[in-house]
Order: sequence, then C-alpha cells, then structure tokens
Amino acid sequence: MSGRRVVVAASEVLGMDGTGGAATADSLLALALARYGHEVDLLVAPGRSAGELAEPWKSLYADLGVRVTHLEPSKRVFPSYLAPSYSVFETARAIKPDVLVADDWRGLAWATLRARQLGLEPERTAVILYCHGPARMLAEFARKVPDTVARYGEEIAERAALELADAAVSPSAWLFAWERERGWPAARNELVVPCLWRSVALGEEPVRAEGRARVTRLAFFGQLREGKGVRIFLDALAQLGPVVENIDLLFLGRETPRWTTERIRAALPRETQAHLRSLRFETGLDPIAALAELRVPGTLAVMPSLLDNSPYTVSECLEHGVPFLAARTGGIPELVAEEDHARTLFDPTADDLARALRSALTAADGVGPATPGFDPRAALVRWVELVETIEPIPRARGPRISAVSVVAAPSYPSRTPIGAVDLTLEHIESDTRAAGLARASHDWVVFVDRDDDPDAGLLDALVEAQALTGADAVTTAVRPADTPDGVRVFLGDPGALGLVENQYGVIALVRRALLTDEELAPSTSDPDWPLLAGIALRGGQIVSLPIAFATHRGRPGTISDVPGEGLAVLRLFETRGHDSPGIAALAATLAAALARSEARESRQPPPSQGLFRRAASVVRNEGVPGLLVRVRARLPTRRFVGRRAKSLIDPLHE
Amino acid sequence: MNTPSPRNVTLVTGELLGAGRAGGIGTAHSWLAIALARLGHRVEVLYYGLQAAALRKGNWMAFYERFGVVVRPVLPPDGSRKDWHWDRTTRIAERLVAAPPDVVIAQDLGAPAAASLRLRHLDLALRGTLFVVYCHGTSQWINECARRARVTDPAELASATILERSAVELADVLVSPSTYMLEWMAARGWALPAQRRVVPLLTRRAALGELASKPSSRRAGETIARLCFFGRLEERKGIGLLIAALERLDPSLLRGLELELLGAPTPTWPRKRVERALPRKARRALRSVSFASGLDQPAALLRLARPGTLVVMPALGDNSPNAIYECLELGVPFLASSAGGTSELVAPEDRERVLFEPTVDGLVEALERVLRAGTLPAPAAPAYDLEAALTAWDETVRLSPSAPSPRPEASVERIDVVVTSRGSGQRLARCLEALAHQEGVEATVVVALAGPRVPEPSELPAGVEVVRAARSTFEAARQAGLEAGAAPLVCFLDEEDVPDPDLLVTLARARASSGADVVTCGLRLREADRERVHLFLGEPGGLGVLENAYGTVALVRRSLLRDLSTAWPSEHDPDWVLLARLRLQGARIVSVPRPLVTTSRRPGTVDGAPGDALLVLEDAERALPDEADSAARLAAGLAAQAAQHASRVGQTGGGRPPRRRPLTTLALRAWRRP
Repeated sequence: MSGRRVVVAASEVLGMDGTGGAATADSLLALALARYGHEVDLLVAPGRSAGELAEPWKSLYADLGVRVTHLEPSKRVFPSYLAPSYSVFETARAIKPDVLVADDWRGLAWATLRARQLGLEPERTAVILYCHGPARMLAEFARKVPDTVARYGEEIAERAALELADAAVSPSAWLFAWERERGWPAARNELVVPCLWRSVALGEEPVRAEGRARVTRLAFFGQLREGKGVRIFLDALAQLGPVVENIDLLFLGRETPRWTTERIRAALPRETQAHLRSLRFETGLDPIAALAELRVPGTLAVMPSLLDNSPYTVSECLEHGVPFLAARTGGIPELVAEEDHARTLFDPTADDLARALRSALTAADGVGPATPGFDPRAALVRWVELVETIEPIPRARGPRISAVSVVAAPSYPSRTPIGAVDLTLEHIESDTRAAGLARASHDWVVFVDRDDDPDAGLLDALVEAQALTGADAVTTAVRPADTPDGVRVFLGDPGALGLVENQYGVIALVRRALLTDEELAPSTSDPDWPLLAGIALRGGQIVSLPIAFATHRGRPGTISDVPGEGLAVLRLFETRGHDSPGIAALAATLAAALARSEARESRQPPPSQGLFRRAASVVRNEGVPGLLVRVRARLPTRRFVGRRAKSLIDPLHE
Repeated sequence: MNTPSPRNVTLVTGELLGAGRAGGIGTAHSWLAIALARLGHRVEVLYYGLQAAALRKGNWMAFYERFGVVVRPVLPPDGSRKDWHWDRTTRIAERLVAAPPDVVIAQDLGAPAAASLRLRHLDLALRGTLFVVYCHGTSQWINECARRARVTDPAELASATILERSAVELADVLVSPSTYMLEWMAARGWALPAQRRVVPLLTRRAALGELASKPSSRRAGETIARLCFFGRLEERKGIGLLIAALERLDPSLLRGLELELLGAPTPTWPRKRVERALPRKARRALRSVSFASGLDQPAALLRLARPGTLVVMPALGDNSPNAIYECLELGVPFLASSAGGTSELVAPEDRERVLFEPTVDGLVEALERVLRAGTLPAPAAPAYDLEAALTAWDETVRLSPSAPSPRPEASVERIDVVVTSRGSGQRLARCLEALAHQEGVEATVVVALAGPRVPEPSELPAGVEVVRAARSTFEAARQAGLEAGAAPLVCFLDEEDVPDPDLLVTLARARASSGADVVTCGLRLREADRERVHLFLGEPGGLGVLENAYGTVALVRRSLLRDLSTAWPSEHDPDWVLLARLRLQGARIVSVPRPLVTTSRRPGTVDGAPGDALLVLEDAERALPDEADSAARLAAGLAAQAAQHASRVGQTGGGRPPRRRPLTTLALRAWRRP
C-alpha cells in the first residue's frame, strides 16, 4: 500500500517544554509512521503556548518530513472547552486525511467524529482514538475531584469520541477496563498496543545501562506530584532508617506547585537525611539527560505512582535496562514480564514500598533490569498495519423524513426560505409554539423563533443527520449574532451538564410525538432548553451538527438566568423518576451560585471610590450639612427619620 | 360540664409583629399567639429573630403581655455562618428541654424545632410534648416561587432544606393555611405526618375577637382612579409580570390613571430599576407613578381603602397571602393571581372574575376586562370561616403527642469499640481512659494499629485487645479490629477522640428508639483557641458528596460491615467514606444533635480532603443511575470549583474588597455624639 495521508492530533509534542507521556507517544508515533513512508502532519491543538521547537526534535521532524503545526482556532468557539476539538476538525475538513489519530484527552476528535457521523466532511477519514487517559482518569491519578464545569463538558466530548471512533488504541488493557467499569461506551474496535519506544520508532539501538550492581543510588523518577507517589516514597524512606546509610538520593522530575523541592526536603525526616550520602534534585533535565542519569551504575529508579496507565518512565527503564521498582497499579504490570513482577513491583503503599526498597538495598548484587512484558517491535508493526488498513466503518442509514412542519414566529428576521430537497414543507406562523404545533400536521417539527435566522441549507442538513442517526432531535451549531466570527457548538446530549446550561441546541428538528405541553409553555429566554432537556430525559437521542447552519440572536439558557428556564429544567431532572433529586438540585444551584459570584467579581467597581466620589460631590454641591442630611436619611434608627424619608426607607430585605 | 384545662403552648418563630421586618410568618404567629392566649392557654413565644431590641423599644412586649403572651428572645447565634441553622435550633432545643411545654408550634422555614424534634424522635428528650409545625413555606418553596435556580449559598440551602424536611416529617401535626402547601410538600416525596390540618390564617380581627364588627368599605361601581400594586417589589410578587403586562396593554386603557407601587423595594428590584423598566408608552398614558414603602400595616391598609383604588397582586407563587385576607376583610376590590393557595381564600363564585393565571396573558386579560368597564368590580367574598379557624387551633393544641416506643433490645445489645491508633500513646491513653468510664452498656474495646508504633502494655487498660493489620491504612486497621470482635454493634473511634461518659448509652438508646442502622453524634471540635460544636445531618442527600454531613463517631450494625477496603487509603476522614457507602447501600443514618465526643479530627470536605471526596464520589456514581450519577460528579466538581474560586479571590484580593465607609462612619459618629 502506498503512503497514506495521516494526521496525528496531540495536545503537546516532543520539543516543547515540560511534556508528558502522551506527547512522547504521539510524537514517536508520528515519526515512526513517517519513517514507514506515510505523509504525516502532527497537529498541536490549542491550549499550550506555541513556542519554537527545541532540538534535536525540530531537526528530527524535518528530516523525516513530519509537518508540525500549532493550531489556533480560526474563529471564536463557544464553549471554549470545545475549541481544541473544533480546531482539529477545521484542519481535518481542509486536509481530508486518510487517517486521523487523535488523543482521547480533551476530546480532540469529537467535532470531527460528530461531523462525520452526521454526514459532513471529512466523511472518508478513518479516525483512531489514541487513549492515554481522559481528563477524569487524570483527576483520579491526582486523587482529586475534577473542579471545573469545563472538565465536565470535556468528559462528555471524550465519551462521545470513544463511541464514534473507528478504532481506539490504548497502551494498556487496564484503561479500557477502567472505562468499562465507569460505564463509558466501548469503542467499535479496541486494540491494546504498548507505547512505542524511541529506539523502535526511530530505528536506533538503545543505550543500555551497565550490568547488575549493588544499589548505591535511589532515583525517584517522574514529576514531583501526589499522583506519582511522592508522599509514599517519603514515608517509605522514613521507615528505612539506617538501611539508606551512604545512599545517594536523587529526585528526577519536574517540580509542581504542591510538591516543591523545599517541601520535599522539609518532609524528609532529618534522621533519614543524616543517613544519606547526598540528596539532589534534577528538575529541568530533558528525557535524554534524565536517562543518562538513570544509567549511572548502582542507580535504582523508583516509580511509586498511585495510579497510572502506561507510564513512559517504566517503558524507558525497560528500554534502557535501568533497574527499577514500580507500583503495581493501573497498566504498569502489563509492561513488565510476569516472571519479574514479584521483584520489581510493589503495592502503592508506603509499607510495601519500604519492604521492596529494603530488599533491594540490602541485596549484595542489587537488582537486575526487568524484561518487558511485550515485544516492542511488534507494537510498531501493529500501528503500521492499523494505519495502513483502517477505513471508516460504514454507517447504516435509516429512512429519510419526507415531511416537516416549520412553526415560525411571525417576524423571524430574514424569512429565508429554508426548504429542502425532496421534502414536503408546511409553514405555520404562530405567536406561540403550542398554538403552532396544534395546527401542524407532520410528524417532525422545526421551531423558528424571532431570535433565529436560519441558513438555506439548514433543513437539508438536519434531515440528513436524522436519517444517518435515527435521532429524535437534531440541532445545529449557530453563529452568535453579536460575534459574527464565532461559532456556538452544542454537545447535543450533555448528560447532567444539561442542568447547568443549554448544551442541547437552540434550533432543532424534533420528533413531534416527544413534545409535551409542559415543555412548550411560553418562555422568557430560551424555550429550547426545557424542550430538549425533556426529550433527553425521557430517553430521546439528540445529536448536534458541529457546523453553523443558522445565526442566533439570543443566548442559550443558563442556570443563572433570572427569570429563566433553569428552574423548569431542574424540575425535569428532579421528576424524571430517579431517587436522588437532591443531587441534581445541588448541582444546579452550585453552578448558578458560582456563575453569579464570578460575574459579580468581574464587574464590581471599587465600592469605597464610589462612596467617596458621591460624598465628595455632595459636600461640593450641598456642603457638610447636606451630607449630614443624606447620612441621616440612611440611618436605620427610625426615630431619626422624617416623614418623607420614612417612605423611602426599606426596612425589609429580600 | 368540665372546662378543658389550659395548655402550656410555646410558639417558636423568627418573626413577630413589632420586631423589625415582619412578613406573613410574623403576622400569622403574632395573631395566633394572642388568639390562643385569649382562648385561655398559657402562651410563650420563643423569638429567635435579631430584632428583640425593637420589641422592647416599641412597647411591643407590653402589647403581647396585655393578652397574656410572654415573649422570650433566644440569644442570636454566635457560631460560624455555616453552622447557623444548627446553632439556632440547638439553642431553642436547650430552652425547650429545660422547661418542656405541652405544645410547641414552630414555623417550618429555617426549621427552628429540628433539633428538638430529633431529640424526641431518638427518645432523648421532650417525650410528652406535642409538636405542631406551622407551614408557611420552606426555603426550597420560596426559591421555587422566585423562579430561580440560583441561590447565594447552595450548600446552606441544601442543609436548610434537609432540616426543614426532617422537622416537617417528625412533627405530630402539620397546620397549613392552604391545602396547596401540603400538596406541594407531598408532591416532592416528603413523608408528611398523618395529622394534617388546613386552617386559614388568623387575622387581627379574629385574634382580638372583633369578628362580629364588619368593615363597610365596599365600593363597587366607583370609577377606577388608581392601580395599586400591593406587595414587595420582587419577582415572586409579580413585579416583572406587571411590567410585562403594562407593555402589552393598550395605553388608552391607562390614560389618566395613577399607578402606585405599595411595597418595599428589594435589591433585585430597587425603585430605579422599576422606574426604568416601566414601558414609556404606559408612563406617558398614566397620570402619575408613585412608590410607597416602609408603611406599617394600618397605614398600608388606609392607602388601599382610598376611593377608586383597584389593588393588583400578580404573585407568581404564594401560600396564603395576608394581603388577600386584608382585601377580603376590608372589602377592597382586587385582582390577584390564582397562584398557590390564593384561590382557596376566595369564594368559588368570585374566583373567575377576580383571579387570573400568573402569566402575562392572564394579567393582561384581567386588567383589560376591568379597565374597559371603567368601574371597580364588586369586592370578592372570603371562602373561609375564621370562627371555625379559632376552634380548629383550640382542638389542635389539645391533641396528644405520638411518643416514640423504645425497642426491647436497647439495653441488651453489646458493643465492640474499635479505636484506631496511629502512633500517639498519649492520645490513645486519653481515649481509652474515657472509654473506661462509659456508663450503662456492655462494651469491649479493641485497639487497631494503623501505624508502626505498638503501644506498651502499660499504656493500655486491662482487657483491651490490640490487633495489627498487614497494611497500615485506616481501613485495614479497622477491618482487623472488626474481625477481632463479634458484638452486634460496632463503634469506631480514633485515638484523637475523647468520648463523653454517656456516648455509648446515648447512641444505643437512639438506635433502639429510631431503628436506624447507624447512629452518629455531634462533636466538640478543638480548634486553635476554642472549641466549636459540630453537628451532622445524618442523611444529607446530595450534600454528602460535598462534605461529611453523616458523622464521624458512629454506632453501626455489625451485619452491615463486611469489606471496609477502599480503592486507595482514605487520607483524612475514613468515616465519611464508610458512612456514605453505607447510606448508598440503603442504611438508615440518624445523628444525635448533641456533642458527645471531643476531638480535633475535622470532618472531611471536598476541598479539605479531595482524595476522600473522590472515594465517596466513586461510590455515589456506582449507586446512582444515569443522569443522577453524573449529577453527583457535577455537584462535587462545582463545589470544588467554587472553593477554588473563593480561595483565588482570597489570595489575590481580586474579589470584592471589604466595605469601607470612613466618611459615613465619621459623619455618623459626629451626628450621634452628644
């Protein structure tokens, strides 16, 4: 097979500052595919500052013909957490590659996959999701609750991408199991392929550490963060006492705000430090220099991650023959040959790490390097085979809708005819949706409000998307009227996020049988929010086109609108029959409170200035007596209040 | 014939006439207190509002005393804001327990009687007291009426709602002025008590025995000169609806009329906003627009009674508004929305002509109908009988309380106490010493080691068993401790905890009387310079994913405790993880609203113990279906974001700076200085 046009979409790549394992995997994959004769673009999705790539990576990409492009969105994308995915989509639409390989994190392939599913370009691009771990898993690594609404929205996109991809590749079987356990959908083809080693990807011989020797140096290898096990490493060292006598201790990894070198130094008991021969931190080394440190004879690398997918730290130790101890967690055991598990792996607790370290430090001949649990060259072969053979999975197509009722407000802006090919249309002009629907005679309805200015191709696109998916409602991205260069994209079926904001859509083709009177009630702000939330909560499927087919003058509803549709949507969530309405209510109100406090923070003028200015103005115009009269009128004590002032003072507060 | 003996009745309320702001609740409780006293009962009011000084200054104390009503202010809360509800309800409980009345009548809003009701439910106090909850609308109802999902402090709202619900569910009798309010609670799945009564609000005339004198200000047929919006300027009272209706109304119908807005402005609808929002065409047509606020009730009624006045009350939601009672009593013509319980107050034959749907269309249609006629409609007749209401209240306070019945196993069940030791011999010794003084129960103490240090035998009292787990986590230690015993009940303690002598007997008694699977209790939390009482909700619903509102020290049925392991070791609060899991598995948890343990262990929160929060969340997600499970995650994420936001604002000073009023303060001082 001749070379294919391949796009690898990543969030960061080798050559940028402070990259992690995903960047290594994506970059090495791009380089390896280029070596095998494919035309490869390596896209860096927006989110990280784009600087000049460092050597030797810059030359390596150039030598092998890999084009590295830092993407910036061509337009303002709302919500902003979908902007990276939208940028990848726009590039994929322009290039129309044979294969798109995109990271699962941040749902980079979501918009492309959704467009393809709904009959939009790039239809003939096969999409492979490269699964290094979604945002939720990263939060779990760090043992914290995801703390922004954007993360939640990203997770919806990540899940949808997994469901829609032609294949998903994970370096560990553990990750797929982790997703299954949390109810994530299965990809249509799931493959476990270990991350490519640098030596394999570039066709080099790895420089291996010298033979086995007594351990004289311990090297914590990985970012200095909670999830990488800094705390249990320190606790374990504290338990070892004189066992660490004359041992060099090295921390090899980037600092983090929570775990600085000062904090680590302070957390290491003085008694332990007294036993050590030296304590050193190397927080800025590139991967090549870091590996050189690890290959120093007598060094034992320690990777005590609390949870991890398939860390490159372990892979690199395996690749370079560096002796190591690693936590028996996540996908790590899959990297190590079964027979080496007992001597190289430990449970991610301080006790078990202390046991393993004691054993390693007291062994006269140290610890030998471990054998990989897989064939590193076979991993490359599998990737190449996959990229060379994958095609988009054919979609089943349902019957096409033949008739639609368009219920329009009397004066929607453009009155553009929104007819469609082979479609019987019924135009009904009505003040209210309920009254219009009562006059409608077809099974499918589109409501066009005063805020909507649909494009000529809207109905064609909606009807086509419905035929391809069998959805109960199809919505579309819109151009906000106040941001002509922007696009507002909708998740379609946003799960519980639908409680916080309208992420369903603002203009929709809807199956009439699913409409209820309650959700058609007149609304002050966003009538589509309760309408579509009701459909989703009754089990209806909603999909949304990621390309704008209308201009919208309104703003999708949010929980902080007063008056607004938030309460109606909350009641829908509460009354759907689940036994835990309190949680839904709490989620909604928390979001609203937060939105309000942030908005207030951003627009609050310095109050003291205002007061001073007002006071100064009064003194200037009315003198001090005038000021005192005004102050008196503000006093809460009734006996000072004159009759006129009394009627102005409000003793009650809302 | 024997005269029924009078009852000692205590009303518990945060609002009273004469004490600063007094809305519907204050009015209702004030007249009820006077009416009951006039019926011969001994009436005391526990007033917990912040305006006790106004009562004294305005001679209101003497006013109430004239009718035999004694008003006793409860000291305002002095704890942190977070514990405000608990602080108040426990102070009230202390007062009631010290001198138990025959009857307590407490408002529903804010659940002032929640702690007292829980103590009675757990058979720990107030066994002979009848509890009546007087339903005017809970926090959640108020929020819904305002048609907004956002609130200032969502966690506080959730906490208040749980307390309010528990107070309603544990009461002997519910009294509501409307059927609507009882149905509202029932529709949300609240388990209402069997005794429920609908009794209209007692008005001033009913309370003072003036029902025989009929007011005579009926003015049907007068030309309409004035529209009077009557109610606070807020969304719930329909100010937005009025403005929207004026926009739609034909200006010729308004020509020459006055528009008066009779009610206090609010932060969301200040006078300026109302002025700006009034449609220009309506303003041009109207003769004048005026505002009147700060009037007391008699002054407001005088304004309503002026000739040619049509009162408009377009509330989006209301229970049983005093304003309607007043218009009905005075014979003032009005148009009112049919929202909530309003329609129950109006005679059925008048409803169609004076009530309208709480929508813009409804108000426009009603106003058009009346304004086209040009004359005031005939006043509506009331649908209620206030004489019967007085009798109903007299009957209510003579009911008997439904006492809890202790279960037979209360005194026979043995308890294993598992104390987790993490290495401090001194703390462990203090905890064990306190355990040695437990009264009234048979308990076996097991020390489970979760650290490298093994206590010296001399540190341990006789009979204390020590166990050690293979792993040094809380969960492993507790598992080992659990397996060392066999008693049907287990109490987990930490070496930090110092139990009161009556801890175990109180928990056992509460468990026996409630039948709960888990009983927790309040804590005395040692902080840097003081001790603070920390109480728990027991079953906090969704709030449980944000903070440990279940409890820490707990008596648990052993049969529920099998595998205590977690995906990773808990970091700060193993009880949060354990109790949340038990609750999700269906266990019933109650918490004694009294501190029975002194400790420095702070209950976990989503920002203080994120790893533990994630463990709770993982369990919650597995237990909840579909949207509800993701909502749990969302709620937790939002709370974390809020905490992060608050901390960022605090660090950078980017938030609202503290209010500084140097000039105002100086001016005030100068003015007040003698």
